[in-house]
Amino acid sequence: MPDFLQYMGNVFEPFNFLILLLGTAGGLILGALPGLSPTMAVALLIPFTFHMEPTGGLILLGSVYTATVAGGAVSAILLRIPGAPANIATTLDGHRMVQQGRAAQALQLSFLSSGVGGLLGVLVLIFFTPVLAQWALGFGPSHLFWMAVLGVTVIASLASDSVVKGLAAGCMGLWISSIGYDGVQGVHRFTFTSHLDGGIHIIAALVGLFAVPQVIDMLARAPGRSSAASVQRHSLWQALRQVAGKPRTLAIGSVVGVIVGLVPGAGGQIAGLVAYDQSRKFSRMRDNYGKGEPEGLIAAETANNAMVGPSLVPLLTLSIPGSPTAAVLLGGLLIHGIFPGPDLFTDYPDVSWTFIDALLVGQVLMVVLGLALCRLAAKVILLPENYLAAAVMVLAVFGTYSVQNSYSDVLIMAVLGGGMWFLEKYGFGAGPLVLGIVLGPIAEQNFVYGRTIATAGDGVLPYFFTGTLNVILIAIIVASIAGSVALEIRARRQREREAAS
Amino acid sequence: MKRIADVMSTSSGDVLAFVFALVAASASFAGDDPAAYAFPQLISALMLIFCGANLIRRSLARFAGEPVLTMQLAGKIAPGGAVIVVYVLFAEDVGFYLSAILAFFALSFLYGEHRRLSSIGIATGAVVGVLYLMFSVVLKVQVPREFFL
Repeated sequence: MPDFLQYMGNVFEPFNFLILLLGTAGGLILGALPGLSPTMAVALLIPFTFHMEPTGGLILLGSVYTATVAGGAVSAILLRIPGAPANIATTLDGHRMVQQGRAAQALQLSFLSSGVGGLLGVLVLIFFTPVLAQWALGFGPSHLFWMAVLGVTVIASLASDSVVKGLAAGCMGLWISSIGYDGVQGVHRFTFTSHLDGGIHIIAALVGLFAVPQVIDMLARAPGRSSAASVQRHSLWQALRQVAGKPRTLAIGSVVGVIVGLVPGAGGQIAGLVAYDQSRKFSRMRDNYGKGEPEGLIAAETANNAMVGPSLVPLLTLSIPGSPTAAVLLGGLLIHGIFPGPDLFTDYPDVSWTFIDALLVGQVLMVVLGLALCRLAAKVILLPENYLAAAVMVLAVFGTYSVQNSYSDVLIMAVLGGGMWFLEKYGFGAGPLVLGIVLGPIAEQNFVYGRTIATAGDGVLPYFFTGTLNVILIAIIVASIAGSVALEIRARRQREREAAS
Repeated sequence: MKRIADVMSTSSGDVLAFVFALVAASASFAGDDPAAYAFPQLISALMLIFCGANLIRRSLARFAGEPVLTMQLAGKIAPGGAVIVVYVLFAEDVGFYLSAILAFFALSFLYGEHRRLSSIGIATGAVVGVLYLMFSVVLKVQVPREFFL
């Protein structure tokens, strides 16, 4: 009998199953709240697990991690505020569907595709752990640098009025990420005020850039209700058929999610974006992307959740966290005296396999509870916009403050939000800016490491621009930008033709 | 009511982005530690190129575009913007819960359809109550309290 089946019974022990149920339900709710990221939710729960048995503690952390990623889609769809960076791509078509009165359908598609991606991701974790970990370990600083650049360029071509505006916004984010203490060289950069000494925290940036412009827009529309009048019930059977009828989109989302999840340090934030971009390029409905196309939503959510399982592969086998949340999970393992590595499955087979089995069962629970929750969640937009705007604003302040107990974060959140609202009016997207801030430290760290290695070797240019993997990544970046420019030119010509006729 | 052309040009956002890029590049290239500033220099140079290209593209566009920030819009969001600014600036001194009550009540009242004080009061109490339960009871976050709780 395979190891993972041998320990499956442990998951259904009453206490473990109760923890799994509570973790999944709680994770969905926490994930749905703007500003409460999966990383933050898992980090906040670690002290709670300290007094539990290792198996129960890890089940709680794992189930919350899985469910918060899926739950983040709720606020991304209903409010256009991603619950986590991973849900940025979900906003593109998900919120459009809400504006078209298809909130229930968007939420159903989101949870169903999350379930498909999540199950596949955990199966990869179970069956391909040793093989894939070896492959991911082969990534060096130059590859990780290009992966970060790829993440920024992909969204730059999606979330702004034009590619050049998207790339400019992505650069703004990368530059903003360099504000504060530089951990590599040990100097303070661009700290014009003491509030910037600690740099720009990702949660402050995420909440500010996504929540504050949304609050101001809601106030501009008030009094009124967000597209509440057009919210209708949607058949679950129809949603199931719709998801099942998109095998290509599911395949693209799953493959992209698995690959991105396996790359240490890339994090999950680019999985949804890359999958969305690739799905659009291969789709016959590509012109509808960004206008409420279900395929875009399915691709993004499948990838987000397919990333979760594989992101734990390098963590469990090599102690290398594949994402920020995996890094927090590493802390959770260590406080229980469990040291991940190649010996984990021989030293602690019961704990490690029960944990992985719980992730598998958790995917099913996540879909069931998510579908039950989405009927309630869809009612969120029935709230009058003045209440919603006020609630989001006070929640943004509390959520931002609670990350580091820092009032500077609240001020940074508000300033970034105000500036973003203004820039958004002129066609600059928040997505590229946020992703620049998220991936900036990864890009810079690997740029610096790569430069150091290159200086001792053949030089900077050969190090970053030669080698099979470097060339493949650069080619994908160039192709992604060129493809988006071509699509933009085609769309502009079409608009001009329509205007002329 | 006059439209945006009176307040801002249709491309002031593009100009602002270019100015930001210019400031970022100046600050990056003024840094005295070449190793620490190499990455910001590379990024700010790229940002300057993209923002410059965007500005050129904008100035060459045949259609200037519709105004986006009208006097009407500015007038509509001004009271809410003022409440948010005051809330964010003074929440730490006044206390998070009291300032949340005041900000929630003010925003709900200013932008409400019917402005029923009782409904707004109930909504304010419910939202701040949930915040208290979540952050102070469950998550044990030590928020600035000052005059309240």
